[in-house]
Amino acid sequence: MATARFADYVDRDARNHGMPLQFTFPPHTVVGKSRSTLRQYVEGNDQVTGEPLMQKIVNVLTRPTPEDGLQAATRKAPWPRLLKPDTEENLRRLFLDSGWTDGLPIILPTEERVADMLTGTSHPADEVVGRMTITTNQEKLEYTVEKVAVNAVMAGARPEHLPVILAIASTQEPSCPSSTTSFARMVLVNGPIRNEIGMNSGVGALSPFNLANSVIGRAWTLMTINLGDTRLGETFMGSQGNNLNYNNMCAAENEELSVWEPFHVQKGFKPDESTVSLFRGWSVINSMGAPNRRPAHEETAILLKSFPALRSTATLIMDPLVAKHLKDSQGFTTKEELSKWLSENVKIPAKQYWDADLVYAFMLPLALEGVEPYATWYKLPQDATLAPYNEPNNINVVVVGGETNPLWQTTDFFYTQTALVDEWRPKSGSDATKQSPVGNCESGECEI
Amino acid sequence: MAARLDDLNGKTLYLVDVGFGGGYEFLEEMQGWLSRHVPGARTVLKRKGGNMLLDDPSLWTEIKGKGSAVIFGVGG
Repeated sequence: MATARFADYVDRDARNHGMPLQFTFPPHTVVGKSRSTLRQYVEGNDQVTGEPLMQKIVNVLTRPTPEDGLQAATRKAPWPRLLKPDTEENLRRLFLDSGWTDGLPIILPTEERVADMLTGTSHPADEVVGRMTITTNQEKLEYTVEKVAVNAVMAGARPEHLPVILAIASTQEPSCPSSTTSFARMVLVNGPIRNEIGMNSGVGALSPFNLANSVIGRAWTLMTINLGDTRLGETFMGSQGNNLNYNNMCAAENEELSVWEPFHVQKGFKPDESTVSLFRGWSVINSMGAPNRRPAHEETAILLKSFPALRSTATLIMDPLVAKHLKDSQGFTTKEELSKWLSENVKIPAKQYWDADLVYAFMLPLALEGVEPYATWYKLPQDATLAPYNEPNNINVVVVGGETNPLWQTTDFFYTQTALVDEWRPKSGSDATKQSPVGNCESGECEI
Repeated sequence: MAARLDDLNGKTLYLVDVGFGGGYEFLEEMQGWLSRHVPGARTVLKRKGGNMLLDDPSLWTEIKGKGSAVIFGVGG
């Protein structure tokens, strides 16, 4: 059974997998409905066929399955490699009307522009980078270096940005998965390439000013749309969507002004290696003021209580001034010490934890299977307190900002993976970054 | 596809909650309907192990061994 809103979706799912599954459709939604309403749904009709819902289920179980000859669909990219020549205006319209853009104007990916983009990497155009889908409804689609370059051109990127974009593509993660919950994503770049391509890690790093930050983050979503076959209302089902997906909070860590270890070094990479790290979540809360009367870690502990603490995950995006405040005034000599303190000191009532919808969906099954500490937490009285951020390693800290005010952002983002950018660079001697009109940015505060 | 049943009398029907909010309560109401209207059928209401995105091979084995049919729900 699936609620009626997903009738088309599950029909496509069955057809894509060649399985004539029999579905019955109660009204949408069943979550949060009273018992009397649910009983009416059970005693009512299937919302698609109009048959009595339970009688339809009995029929499905006791009558022969119709043989409709479903065959698993062979997935191929639903677009040609080359389009017929046309005017720029018509081609722009074609891209927009075909759903190949994020709604904003794009740079048309002509053969010449894509070829120029490909100078940004040593990898051949036909090399397979990965496979992607935004939903289990569809088989994953394979994509090459050339297809990544096409989307990089569309985003407005330059060849020197391509290694970072390819590294993102190599993760095979979509920026906007189909989840009805509408995920936000974050891209964090570490290492020398930040400054080589003029990324902004300083003043306004998360604002729309810097070319590299903007186009790299945008390219991820264009890749998701075109390489993950994102189609609004068909494969993408985010109920409200998420505005952060326009460029996925793409920024560089301010390693120059941070008093702590860079994020990629925490993950086992060398300081002189360039990496891109990805995060996923839903929510961002500004600190709404500086750590004046209350220190930043105590304020963060209050803010973290508003999240469901799903799998103990959170990511703090701190201005360098906040990191200095926490180290110099509060004694947190490392990011890990701060994470440990938050893990031990954020406490909420058991009822608040277990009544969160996401906790019900993802953590209750673990509790019922006897997985600790969730099994013990589930037995607590409702007013007993628990420390839901029980895994300090899942509380991430990154330093971004330009020291105009000691502010920070508290998010429920969890870290997914880090990819090495250096593997995607051009060969020595043909380094596109050396030809970059952006130039170097030693301060980490570049803005074009 | 699994073979269909001749009828539900004497059969064991598994009702499996896949983990979306409200699904378990909906299946409880279904279980009530079946007990009232198909009293000859036995129903077993289960929560699938793990979250809605994960496989649960042990439950599938249990259903193959002890069940006559299974109803999954409620996607939404």
